[in-house]
Amino acid sequence: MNEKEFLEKMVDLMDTEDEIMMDSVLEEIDEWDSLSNIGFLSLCTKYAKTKVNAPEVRAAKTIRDLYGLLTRE
Amino acid sequence: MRDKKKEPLRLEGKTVILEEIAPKYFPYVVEWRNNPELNKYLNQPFVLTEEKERDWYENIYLNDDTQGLMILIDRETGTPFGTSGWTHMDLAKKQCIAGRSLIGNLEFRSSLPSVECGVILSDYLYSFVDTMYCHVVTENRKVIALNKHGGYAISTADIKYPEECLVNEMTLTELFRTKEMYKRANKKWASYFPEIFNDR
Repeated sequence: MNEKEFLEKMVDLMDTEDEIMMDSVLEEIDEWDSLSNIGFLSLCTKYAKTKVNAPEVRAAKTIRDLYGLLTRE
Repeated sequence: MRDKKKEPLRLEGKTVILEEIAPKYFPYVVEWRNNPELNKYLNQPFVLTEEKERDWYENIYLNDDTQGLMILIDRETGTPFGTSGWTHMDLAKKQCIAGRSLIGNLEFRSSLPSVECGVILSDYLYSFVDTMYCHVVTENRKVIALNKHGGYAISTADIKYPEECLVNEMTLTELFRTKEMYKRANKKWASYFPEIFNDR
């Protein structure tokens, strides 16, 4: 999944009208809430190459960090 | 009126069980509601004790069929991890206020049981009401967003419970959700959490 596709999926997940970029800070996105958090984990079960766990997602600071979790080998 | 002591409510999901508040859960509720990490936006301007909780339970809760308080329990481990409930149940107007939502055990934040408990309780309440309301401290933008993800919308012109919008010097935002709004939200989340929504 490339970054553009990932951003589209994140916008859909969070259902946000804010512009989301790879360097967007998660804490500053209101729609990055506990439901989006676990929804992202659900995306990972479909698309991630390695297992991603909840503490790793909670530790993420930016959209780019989440992309890193999804795409790491 | 249901005898809450003799016939406590119990709702079961695939990952979570909701049991009605009982004395055995008082220590959990007291610990969670007194946790400063968790109680910043709670309507509780005092330190809760088991004695106060028991007093409320015996003298108010058991005699009031317009409110409910459920303990959230992880089905796999039997671990109580939070609360959720309702007040102002009005069967004639088919509406109530949802609230008392608290994930007390932080290990269960962003967990499937924490998602499913909202679905289980909402399914139950929508068998009695057409519209649910909730009130969230206005500066708590993440929780407002969370409720919007669950299908709620901010009430604008017609505030149903104005007395709930200014409590203990906190300004709260009222949100509402009809049964249809709830179903629409569930359609979206079913694709993310099929393990919860399959066979619903």
